[in-house]
Amino acid sequence: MATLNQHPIRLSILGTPKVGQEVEIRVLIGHPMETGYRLGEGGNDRIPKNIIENIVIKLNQQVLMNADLGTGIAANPLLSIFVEVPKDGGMISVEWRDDLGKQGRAEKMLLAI
Amino acid sequence: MNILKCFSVLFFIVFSYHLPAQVIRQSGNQFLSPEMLKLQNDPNGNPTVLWIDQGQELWNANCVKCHQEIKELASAVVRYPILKSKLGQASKVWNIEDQIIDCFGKISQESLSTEHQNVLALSIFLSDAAKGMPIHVDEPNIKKDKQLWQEQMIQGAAIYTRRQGRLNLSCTQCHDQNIGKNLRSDIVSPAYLTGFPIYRQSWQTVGSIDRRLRACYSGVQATVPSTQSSELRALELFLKKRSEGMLWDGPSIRR
Repeated sequence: MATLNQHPIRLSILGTPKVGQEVEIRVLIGHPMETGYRLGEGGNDRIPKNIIENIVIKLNQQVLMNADLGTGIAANPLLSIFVEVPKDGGMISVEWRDDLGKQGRAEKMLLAI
Repeated sequence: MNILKCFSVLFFIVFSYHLPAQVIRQSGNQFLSPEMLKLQNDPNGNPTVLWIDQGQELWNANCVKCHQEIKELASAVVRYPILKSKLGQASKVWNIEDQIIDCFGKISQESLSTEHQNVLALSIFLSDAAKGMPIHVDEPNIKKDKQLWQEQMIQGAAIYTRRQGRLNLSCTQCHDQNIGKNLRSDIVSPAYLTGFPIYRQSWQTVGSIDRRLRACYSGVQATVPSTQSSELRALELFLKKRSEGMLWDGPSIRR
């Protein structure tokens, strides 16, 4: 059986990308976001902490957002930011890393009209 | 053409008075808060899309060899649960997750649980493909199976109306008699089975129909049946038959 990507990611751009206008960039990441406070089946063992520590959204290698997430964020985090569309559009990229060292990234072209 | 239109309107006006008063059956989605409904209908924010993506991946890797048409297989979502007998075993009620587990067993010789990530991903993928199909649970043609099917249906109805647990409540007391009222901060919705598996925010993950029903049992502090037990299947069969003709909502989100 094929092994699944444990942390699927969806990057979407909402709105019409007209130059000078704002579009919404949304990131949805499949991640358990374990706080480390929950107890397991037996009621004794703590479920180990597993939190996304840092997310960076870039437009043409220029940082738009750099967020440090904590234990207060629910599982499968959905983040969104608004960006003004530059003259030639560009490449939107998202990178995240969690405290276990796992990483993920996604890219999408922002085509200006 | 115009005359025909006039006639059909007249026909409708005359005869609609004679239609029996119908119970309007509403899917659980109509009881969501506006914010939740917005999230449900948003393909870029609805968390179930993550599972749909994974399901697509699994489908392409494992299922395409035997099943060519996704639409064809997705129609099973609205037909199940059905009576099925494995070789040398008595007939049992099977739901879609049982079928997926059985298929995975054939491929990789391992038995998965209903809450396994792969099972849920594939179940959600099929459920999404079945969106908009009318639910149609049919009784089997074979005479022997027919009797068993009816027994299961009666058992399901009995469970639905049976008081149980420390709260001494039956399903019907909330899900028929108190629809639309508040239960803690949630609104009680009627028990129609139109969109599973569900993403529940309190679980922070996706769960199968088994998990949802077991949560109901534990909610009234009754003895919780084990997953894939015949009791849960009988109840599911009854609930699905109750939703006969309603349109399938696809994977849904709940609080």
